Amino acid sequence: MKMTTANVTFSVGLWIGLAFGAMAEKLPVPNTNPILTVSGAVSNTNVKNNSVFDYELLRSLPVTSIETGSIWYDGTAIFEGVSLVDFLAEIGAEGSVLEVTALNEYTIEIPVSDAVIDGPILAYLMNGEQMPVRGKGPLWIIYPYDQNIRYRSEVYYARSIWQVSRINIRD
Amino acid sequence: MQLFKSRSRESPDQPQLTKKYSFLGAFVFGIVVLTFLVVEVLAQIEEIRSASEDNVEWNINQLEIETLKLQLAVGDYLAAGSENTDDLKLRFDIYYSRIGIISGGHMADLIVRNGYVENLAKIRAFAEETAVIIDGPTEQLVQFLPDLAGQLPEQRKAARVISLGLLSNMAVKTDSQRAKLGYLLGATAITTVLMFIVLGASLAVIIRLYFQSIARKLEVDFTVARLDATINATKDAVLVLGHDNCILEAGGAFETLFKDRKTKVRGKPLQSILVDRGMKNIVLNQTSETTQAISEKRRTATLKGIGRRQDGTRFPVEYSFQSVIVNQTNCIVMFITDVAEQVQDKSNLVEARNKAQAAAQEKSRFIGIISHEMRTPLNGVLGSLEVIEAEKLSNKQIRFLGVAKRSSTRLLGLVEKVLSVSQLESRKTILKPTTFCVNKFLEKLKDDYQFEAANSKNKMEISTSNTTNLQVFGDTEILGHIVGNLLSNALKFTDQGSIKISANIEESSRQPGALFLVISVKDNGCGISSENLDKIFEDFVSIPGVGGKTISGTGLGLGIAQRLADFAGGWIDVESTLNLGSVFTLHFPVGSRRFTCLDTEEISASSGHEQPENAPLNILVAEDDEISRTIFEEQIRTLGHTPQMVVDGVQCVQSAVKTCFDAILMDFSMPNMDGLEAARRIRASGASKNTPIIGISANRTDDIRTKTRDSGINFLLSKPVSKNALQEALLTISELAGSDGTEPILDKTVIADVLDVLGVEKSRQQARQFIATTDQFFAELDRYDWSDSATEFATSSHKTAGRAALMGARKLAEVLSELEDRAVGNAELPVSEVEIQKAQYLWLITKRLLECEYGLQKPAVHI
Repeated sequence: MKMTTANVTFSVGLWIGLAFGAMAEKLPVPNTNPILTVSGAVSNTNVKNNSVFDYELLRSLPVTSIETGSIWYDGTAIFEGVSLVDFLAEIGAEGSVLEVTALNEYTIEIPVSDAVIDGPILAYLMNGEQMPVRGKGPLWIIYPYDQNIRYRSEVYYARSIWQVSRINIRD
Repeated sequence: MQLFKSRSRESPDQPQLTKKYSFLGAFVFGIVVLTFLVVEVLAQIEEIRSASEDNVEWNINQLEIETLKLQLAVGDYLAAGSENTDDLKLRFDIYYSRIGIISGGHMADLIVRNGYVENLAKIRAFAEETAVIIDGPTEQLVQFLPDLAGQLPEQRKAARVISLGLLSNMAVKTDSQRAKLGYLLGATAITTVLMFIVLGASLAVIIRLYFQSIARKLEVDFTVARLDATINATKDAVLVLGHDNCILEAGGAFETLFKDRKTKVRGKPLQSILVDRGMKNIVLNQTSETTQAISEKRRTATLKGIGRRQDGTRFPVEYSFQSVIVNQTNCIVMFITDVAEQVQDKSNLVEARNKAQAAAQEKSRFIGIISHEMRTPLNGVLGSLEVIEAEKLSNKQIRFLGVAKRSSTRLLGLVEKVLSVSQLESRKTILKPTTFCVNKFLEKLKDDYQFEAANSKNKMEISTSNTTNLQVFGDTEILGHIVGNLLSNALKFTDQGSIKISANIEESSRQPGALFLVISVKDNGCGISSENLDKIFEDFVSIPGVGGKTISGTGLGLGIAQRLADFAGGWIDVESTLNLGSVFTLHFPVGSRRFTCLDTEEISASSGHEQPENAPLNILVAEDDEISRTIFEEQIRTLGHTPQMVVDGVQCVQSAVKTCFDAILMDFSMPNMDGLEAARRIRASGASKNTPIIGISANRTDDIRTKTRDSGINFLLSKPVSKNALQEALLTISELAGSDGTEPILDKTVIADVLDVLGVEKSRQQARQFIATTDQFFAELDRYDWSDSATEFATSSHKTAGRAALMGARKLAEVLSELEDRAVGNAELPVSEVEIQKAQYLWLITKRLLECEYGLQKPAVHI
């Protein structure tokens, strides 16, 4: 892709901004069993070229909660986790598409453009409790279905992947 | 100017309207249906758009896959004999979570709805049992694994059953949903197409209506333009008036007439441009005639008014109204014509006529003066000649004197003829009728012309039919003049022939009810050619006789005769055949007194009676019939009196109470108040309390006479009233009224003596008694049958005359004595009704005067 001078200048500025903001701290190496591995176009890495998270490390990231109903359970539930926009900033993601893979090898593509404020979160708590693998845990991508009708569609239901274990970021 | 808008095509609009409404109905219905369908479709689309369920088929399928994966993981573990069970446990957890997903939310409902609840329950039960072992000690797990491996294929099959079952059900559901949506979309499409058709049809109708309205507008515009052209071409200003005489439209020659813009006058009141003759504001419907004409939708009579321009100038106009219906509203159309030119023309004509009349009058006056002035010296000449004749003269002188006398006499005759023409034209002559005997009158006239007849060797004969011993009432002087002229004319144009004079009394169809003395003069002379027949009555025209015989004369004779006949209310007819002779027939109006003639002496005395010239009288005439009223007015004016006309009894009383009249002429039958009642009221009080009243009745019964007397009517005339009869009555009144003062009627010395001798009280008593008996005498007078009661009448009048003389009523005594003498002298009682009426009127006056003299009543205002 060819870039004009102005775009180059803008991009450089952006990255300097990100370096001084979100990437103030380098990701530490997790102490316990990792539950999520982010590979591909990430800059804030901690194990080899990947950003690897255990439960504690994820919880150290900014917390966002969503209360919503969904097609997978009755009534509403409160989810807590890191919003996708915060998460991508934390790991210094540079791609446009997230390839999210679950424990059962189910893989779905989420465009980076989904990562907006009041958008999806990478939830690790449901109703204040950790989610076991038998209960769609440990990580579940949740969109605010009740808050935005846009998310009550098959496309977003498909992107609401549970038992998340790996993310690959690509252009 | 849009005066008249087309009102046609109203009924053809009716079906179109219905069509329009049906289109509107279809359109509204279509909109409702379409809205319903769209709402349905949107709901359906919404349902499809927001997926309420996850991909159920995938999830169920995934259960089978997860079971298979677990089975593979168990197989791998058993084959490898590894100690690590983590991977196995993870696989189980995933498998377990999948069952959880299927058992929760909408998917569980779906499974329950499709009847796979037991299948799912079995799978769940297996998962729960297995979970206990998985979570238990590793040795126990390892021991259990072969058993698990044996059971998992069965579980996989169970999952497959649910998966396949749901798959087919989902397909049905999706199909039905699709079918419903398809149906809805189809219905929507059909409705939309129908709507398009309706809209298209509506559009077509609207376009057609639009073109129709354009066509109609053009038609109306054309009609209006044509109408405007017609109206604007007239010389009249045309106005359309609304309520309160407000001008709605102005057109025609309005701008030319009023020098103002049509548009500026709209909305203004009519009064702003038009005022009435008397400068009052015009009030529409002011007369009943106008109202009626307007209600009958015809044009009213033309009224006169004055137009007022914006700059204040005024001009005479004539206007009329007509009611028309414009747009179902009643409007009044007004037509105004400028009559300035006509008015100017008329005034020019009037001026010209007045000048001509003045010139003619001046001519008559001049001729009159000249003739009069000539007569005096001529009389001098004649007188002198007569004096000379008495002298001793030579034969030659006597011969020349004879010539001089004849010439002078003829000249005097000519002058007098000319004078009488001018007198007639200036209306100086008045009728002086008297009673005369027809036959004797004619004999005398014949004698007068005997000499002339002898000269022309003509014979004269008189033949009468119903006039033997007939006495009539009329002006003998004028009658003599007319017949004399006719005789003279006949003698002039007849040579050695005969002149036949015939007389007859008859009624004429020209004036029904009036009596005429018809005298015809027939000669067998040269006659008059038909082309000259019209000229003979013109002044100064002499038609030469046959054979060039020169006719001497002024050419005035027949002209004068005709004028006199006309003046007296009669006329002359002429019939003539050339060479055979002419007949001149005079119709001369006379009074209907059919009394036998007395001997010649008395007649001449009677006819020779000089009537005094009397002052004009102020006469009130009450008559409801317009024609009679006009005739009376004309008759009275001709007689030189001043009439005042009223149309009913009420007006008559009002006028009589206010003003003192010299005489009152009154019809018996009038609206509002009849003549008898009016007379009673006039007699009761007011200025004309003592004015003589002449009653006019259509019938003359005894009943009427009595009533008349009681109500205070003094004279009675019957319809139709001839001029002579009226004149006679008025002459009597003016004669008596003119005898100003009491001297000729009363003898005051006698009255003074009576008062002196008897004293006031006794005198009054006597006077009252006298009045009562005399009243009775006159009342009885009406009831006499004259032919039988001459003696009785003579005795009564003798007594009354004597009493009258004693009380100082000198004139009454004289008159009654005269009547008594007449009654005694002739058994046929030649006392005319007029004489009786005169006496009665005299008594009325005498009575009032006596009442005054004896102090019975206050002095009367009038007499």
